[in-house]
Amino acid sequence: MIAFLFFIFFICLLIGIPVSIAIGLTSLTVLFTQDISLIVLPQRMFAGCDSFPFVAVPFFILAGDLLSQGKMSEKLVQFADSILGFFKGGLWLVAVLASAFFAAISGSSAATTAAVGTPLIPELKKKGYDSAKSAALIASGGCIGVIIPPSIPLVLYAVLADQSVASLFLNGFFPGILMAVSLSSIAIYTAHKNNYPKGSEFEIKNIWKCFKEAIWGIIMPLIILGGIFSGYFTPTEAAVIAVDYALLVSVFIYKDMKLKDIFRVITNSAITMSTIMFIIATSATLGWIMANWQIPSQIATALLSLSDNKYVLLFLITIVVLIAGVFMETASALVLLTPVFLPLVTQLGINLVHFGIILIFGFAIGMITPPVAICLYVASTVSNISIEKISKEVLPYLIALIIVLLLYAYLPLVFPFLII
Amino acid sequence: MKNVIAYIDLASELVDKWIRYLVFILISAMIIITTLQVFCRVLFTALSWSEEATRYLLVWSTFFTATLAYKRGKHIAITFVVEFLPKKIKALVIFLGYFLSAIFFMTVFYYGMQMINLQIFQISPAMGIPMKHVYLAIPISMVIMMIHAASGAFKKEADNSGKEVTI
Repeated sequence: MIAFLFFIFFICLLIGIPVSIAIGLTSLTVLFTQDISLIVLPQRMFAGCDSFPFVAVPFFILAGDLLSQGKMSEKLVQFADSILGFFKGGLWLVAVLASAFFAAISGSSAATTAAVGTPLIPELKKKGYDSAKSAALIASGGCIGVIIPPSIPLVLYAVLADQSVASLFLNGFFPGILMAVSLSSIAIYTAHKNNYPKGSEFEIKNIWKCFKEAIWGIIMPLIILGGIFSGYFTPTEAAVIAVDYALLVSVFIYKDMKLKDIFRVITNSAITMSTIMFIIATSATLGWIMANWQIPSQIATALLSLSDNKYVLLFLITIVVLIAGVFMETASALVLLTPVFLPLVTQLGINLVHFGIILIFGFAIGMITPPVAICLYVASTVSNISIEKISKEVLPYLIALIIVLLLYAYLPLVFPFLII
Repeated sequence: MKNVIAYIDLASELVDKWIRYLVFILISAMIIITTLQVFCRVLFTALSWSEEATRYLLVWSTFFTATLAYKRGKHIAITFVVEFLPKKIKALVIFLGYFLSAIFFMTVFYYGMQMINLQIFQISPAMGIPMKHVYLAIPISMVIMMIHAASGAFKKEADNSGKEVTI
């Protein structure tokens, strides 16, 4: 049964059928051959996306798109530069800091990479930084986008695994900061080795000026995250507030968007949303089939027969997640692997919030590993440098992020208080 | 035959244009209703219908926007294997892809209609609207997908540039 299922799925994928439809066709074939009424198909597809927490997905995508195209990201980058620019290689530090900050506004890594890369890459070029290295750093920094809250994949995981969105968000900070620290140490080391120049001088007056211009961006995470963690908003409500805020700021304060632009941004981000939500919809049927045949618990039993050591299995899971991230895009990998791993992880006694972040972290690393690497694609588009060149330079950051992931996977097993 | 293909292409373009406006309206409605929900809860009392309304709007925008994404080849797909194939076989494989996808759309359309007939008298818990209207998004969007699939399958140079755009 499992082999049959995978066989159809891979054939569909190989001949270029979209993942969502391939999942649907697989479910269709299984239902048909097992003589189960196909009415399950539309029923599960409907139920799959009929969920209030999911409403946050289009909103967070839209807020990220609105901000990464407007002036707000530029102002934020200037503000970061005014504080950290005096450092040797300070602009790279600015890139990491801006990524971490933008991650706290946007829920997506692609939007984070675009928002930081668009204003910063020309600036880096002008100051004599190596462009391929800069693009690699910005792509890696983009990965932080889905770890530091808000995060679209964490919302998806929360619904799939029946966990609290707020709790997942809260636990995203620690690994997100670890990522930023590791990336910036490598960046500073490389910059010193290559004797890169300093950015802007350290001047209180300049900082104050940039701060005033960037204030609209700076208070945004306070509104979104403050609203969620104080319990004042649900995550979905916080997401709509983020959209309202981004619209108001770009229309009335920075004045960089007209009604026509808004129509374009809304329909484009809706398309991005639908590619995720349609996978969620069709995979709901597959999830139902898998649960019906107890496939996840069979896989759990098979893996547990290999070893029942928690640490060994956690290592295996992390490796599988990393490999999946190389070849699959986050939403598809998430809907396929979450139900498969949940019974195993539950049996091992691993906290499901902790596991969720390991999962998303692994997929986030997959965003800088070709062939399927959204952050590299975005960085390549905004910098006009080929993906091949950027992928070579991404290697040190990739290794650092994998080490941080393993660290984060094991640390909470030793120190349980790390999971709040 | 040529005429039929031209008509299908025309239908595909026209429907796509309408759906873009529909999607804009659906997403805007989601934004407005959820914003209203926050304001009403903070200033007056919580709305009873807003969560249900946005949930159904999400379902509608998911299925209708999926047709936009399908027409533009934006649904995430693995294309590098197909790109490697020789030209003739490639065209055949792409046609097969559209054909199999159309089978999926047709099945979901047929059983989606059955689902509606089965639950014809059901009404939604909070707003009291007939569920058959809510479910209608599925069969309608499947018909649109079939039109796009037909238009794509008979295109001379199949534009199958699937891009990984998302999170």
